[in-house]
Amino acid sequence: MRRIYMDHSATTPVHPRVAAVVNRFMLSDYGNASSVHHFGKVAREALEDARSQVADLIGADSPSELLFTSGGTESDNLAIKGVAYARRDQGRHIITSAIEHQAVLHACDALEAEGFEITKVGVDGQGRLDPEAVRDAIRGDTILISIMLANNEVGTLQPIEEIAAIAKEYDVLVHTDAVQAVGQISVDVEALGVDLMSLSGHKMYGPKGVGALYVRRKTPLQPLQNGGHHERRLRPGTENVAGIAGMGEACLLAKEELAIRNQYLLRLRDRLIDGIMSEIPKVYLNGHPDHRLPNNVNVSIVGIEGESILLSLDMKGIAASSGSACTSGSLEASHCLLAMGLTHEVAHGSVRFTLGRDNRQEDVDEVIRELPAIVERLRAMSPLS
Amino acid sequence: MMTRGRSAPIIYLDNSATMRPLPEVVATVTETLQNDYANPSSLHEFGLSAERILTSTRNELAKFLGTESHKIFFTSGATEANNTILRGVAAAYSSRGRHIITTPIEHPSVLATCQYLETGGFEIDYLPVDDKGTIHPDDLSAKLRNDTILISIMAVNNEVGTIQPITEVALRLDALGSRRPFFHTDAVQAIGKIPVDLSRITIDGLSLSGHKFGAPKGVGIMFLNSPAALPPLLYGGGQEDGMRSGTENTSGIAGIGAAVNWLQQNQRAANEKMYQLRQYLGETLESEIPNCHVNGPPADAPIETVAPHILNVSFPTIPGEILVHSLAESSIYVSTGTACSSKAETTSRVLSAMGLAPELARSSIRVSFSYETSAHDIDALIDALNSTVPHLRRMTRYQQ
Repeated sequence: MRRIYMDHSATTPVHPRVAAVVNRFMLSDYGNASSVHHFGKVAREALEDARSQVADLIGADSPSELLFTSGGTESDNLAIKGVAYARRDQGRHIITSAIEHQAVLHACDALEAEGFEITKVGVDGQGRLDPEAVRDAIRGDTILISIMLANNEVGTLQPIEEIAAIAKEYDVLVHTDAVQAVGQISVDVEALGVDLMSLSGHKMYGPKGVGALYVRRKTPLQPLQNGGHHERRLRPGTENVAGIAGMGEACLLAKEELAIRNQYLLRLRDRLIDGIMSEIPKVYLNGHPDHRLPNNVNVSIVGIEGESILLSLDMKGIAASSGSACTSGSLEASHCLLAMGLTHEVAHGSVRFTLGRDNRQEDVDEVIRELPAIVERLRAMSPLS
Repeated sequence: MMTRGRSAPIIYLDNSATMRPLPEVVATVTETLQNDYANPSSLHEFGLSAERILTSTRNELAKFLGTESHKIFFTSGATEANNTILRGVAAAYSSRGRHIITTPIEHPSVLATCQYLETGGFEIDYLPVDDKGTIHPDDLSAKLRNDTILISIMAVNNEVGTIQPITEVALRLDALGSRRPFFHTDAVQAIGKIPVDLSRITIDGLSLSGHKFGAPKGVGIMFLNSPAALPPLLYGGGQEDGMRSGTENTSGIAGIGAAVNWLQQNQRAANEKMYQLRQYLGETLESEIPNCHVNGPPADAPIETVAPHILNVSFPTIPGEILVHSLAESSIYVSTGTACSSKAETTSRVLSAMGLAPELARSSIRVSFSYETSAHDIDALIDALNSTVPHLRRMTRYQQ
């Protein structure tokens, strides 16, 4: 059976160039970057090369503004808790949105339990925040705003540039979880004006177990962990050299092909949206039609459970998802879709296809061919319809 | 052994800093990266296949350690495991007390975390170590208080290879009944080098690192005897039973599985071979090079008292760092101590705590073996030291 992978927002295949780099840093250049000898030096150089490659992709002023972490979750936790602890004397109020990734939401919950106050700004029916609603939420004791750049479920892009400009007026720091955006769309930290930004290797054809946090120079940050002198003491632990070098290579690859990747995915995305909308009755596109990641298709198919559709698709060799992978094990409806005002019933019927650089037009056409029959069969069986 | 360019064959003897992943591990990691890249949380068959890697590795590892798989959590490394456990215990037990006992020879990730907790109002007591780097359970008993909530003692020291009396400590703590504090051990240098069997004694928390036993960097292991008792360090999607959120590093974890597999078949023979190399190296150096001292467990220490892969040796008057660089010119790579603090300190904290004379501490190097280290590698090191040490001593005398 031919397999079609359309779950790139959960994770991406590792690009062969990335796998080759990871392999090299395990087989021959396996040193500890803290060692004083040759092996250490080679490892250190690999870290600094990768740091430059990441900095280059996101337009950071200096590679020294990037810290390597174990992934997007750690970057989010470090950014939010790190700033909260470092600025707790100036205030204990944090603003975020209702549709953030769990890493942001639960880090905020943990802070709330410690006496911080969290305001979750709502979104409109297309999953977009109003920058003025963020302004209204700012108080004298607000220390941080954390809003994602692109939503992982519906792909809606947020007006981070406007939010950051507003935050600046009030001297509030801005963090953005850009895990889903970097490698998909052009992201420039200077243009965005953010102070901190989370990245993940495995969402951009890099390996799992590695991520980065952009920290603008002079941003106060308290480490989550203590240990050796690694990563300017802000993130101790022997550096995952192979993974970091792999992430650097993934950034280089993204830089090289971003424009064409973007264009290519947009064409596939719109073909898939158009195909589904025209072939299946009672289907809604979730998220924003224009302010949207070029690889995201999220639809609600009224009358059936998203999970049932996924299983049927899986039997046809098509891998998709019903929301973010991190919560796909739970049977609760997506917090993101509910925040957008969808009813439970419509939210439960959502399916997400996220495209990648390896998908072909015939993959899209096969989904358009298979899905209507699956929907028809499930609707016939469903007590909901 | 490998060759770099046209220079001498490379002899890498800094395996306590990091070890080259085993060939079986590299093959498994590469295969997983290329073919099993799905997110283990995904519901489709592809995701389930990735999840099976996690499950089978967790089961293998549990069997290897003599415990149950639901007590094992994958992290990004031992620093994260140490931080999660130490900070977690401090947060969860602070109503019972704020007294913590550790040793002065722990890894920086334990010592620095204790210092951080000290700023938050916790009181830290350090057990003394003897001249071999060993703590004594009587000292622990003397320091125990009603408000002691945490004891953290490493299983094997990373600079001199001393094995700590973990079993005896655990048994003494058992006698405390309900007043028993949380007992954590950093077993990073122990796994794969000495038997680690959690079925015989009660250890509440244990930290391991993949890249010290033939698995890749960027993946570690946290064992918790009562997982629900501690808050996590990282919040998010609730992976690892909520104890460690974040998409699992599937390929790294698969690498752990391959390393454990290899150890199950080869550990005993590999450790005996390393032990013999250690003894041979120590005894040869002491007999052939004047004024040379093995630090910590002696060259002929019985196998059950020393980790087989570490020999720490001093050549007084030659600063350790100079000797390290000089050996590197012959493509032999050793270190002065722990890589994690090698930039920050001039003399080793571990050797100072052992009461070594400053001259011995300053002139020490650490030689650490891997499963691949051969007698030929050790002979090359001995030859290099035989010619380098007298030469450097003449030069340092000249400079003085």
